[in-house]
Amino acid sequence: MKIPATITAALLTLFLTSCVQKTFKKTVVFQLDASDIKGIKNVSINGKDQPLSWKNSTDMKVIKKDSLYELTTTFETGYTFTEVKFMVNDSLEFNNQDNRRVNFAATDTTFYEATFNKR
Amino acid sequence: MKFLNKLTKPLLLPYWSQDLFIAIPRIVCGYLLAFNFGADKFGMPWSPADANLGFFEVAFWFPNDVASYGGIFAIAPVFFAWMGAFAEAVGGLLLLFGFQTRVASFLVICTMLVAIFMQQIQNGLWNCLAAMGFLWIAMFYLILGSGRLGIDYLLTKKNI
Repeated sequence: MKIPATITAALLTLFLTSCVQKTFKKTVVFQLDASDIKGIKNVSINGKDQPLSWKNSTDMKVIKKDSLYELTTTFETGYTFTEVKFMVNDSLEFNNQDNRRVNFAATDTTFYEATFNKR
Repeated sequence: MKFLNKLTKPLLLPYWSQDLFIAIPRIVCGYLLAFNFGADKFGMPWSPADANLGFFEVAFWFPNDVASYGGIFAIAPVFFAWMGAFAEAVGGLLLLFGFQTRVASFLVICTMLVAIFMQQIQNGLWNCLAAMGFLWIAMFYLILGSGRLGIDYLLTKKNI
């Protein structure tokens, strides 16, 4: 029995499409306590997964001046975690050390609280 | 059947020691492809847990990378991504054990040519070195087959 090429191609496409890792949307609320730093001019975050990146920093919103900063961002990812580092006055925390690992919560939104340069 | 036998049967060097010597790059490259480069983007039992990959699943980011090459890759990114990742992970495993060595070599050659000319060349020659290394190795085994140190040899021994 001959199977037409179109059916074979359709089945192959269906098979391969179903073999791509599933992605999901995960929202993370990053909150940074930078009260130990004096004279804060800017606070930002870098990370390994889009929309964050290691090349370009994303500014964080001021919640309480010279103390508390926040950023809410949504990742579309297949991973169960992401990695980030915070930056205050253009100085990156944990220089030459491991990144912060942020495990996504089972729910859609993860709340991540951190203190600058402290684990 | 005759064709399959021809495809599988390795060319043998005059001495065992020569076959042993040239099996080293095949085994090392096969291992690196299957357990490192391939397993990071293609779901194998030994893929890192952090990659969160199901069995035979291609990583979610890889079809997007492949689509960015443009042309035919943008038309069927999932197909090319899956084939490329399969060629590295499973093709690497086949190379490692010397099983269907020529088929595995062909898959690796295609994947490495794409990696060199569509992905790495714009980042400079230095970035092409890893893919070029795998390409040279696979080119040799496409002609030679597994040699004496592979499953292909055991399967076709009677006919050699």
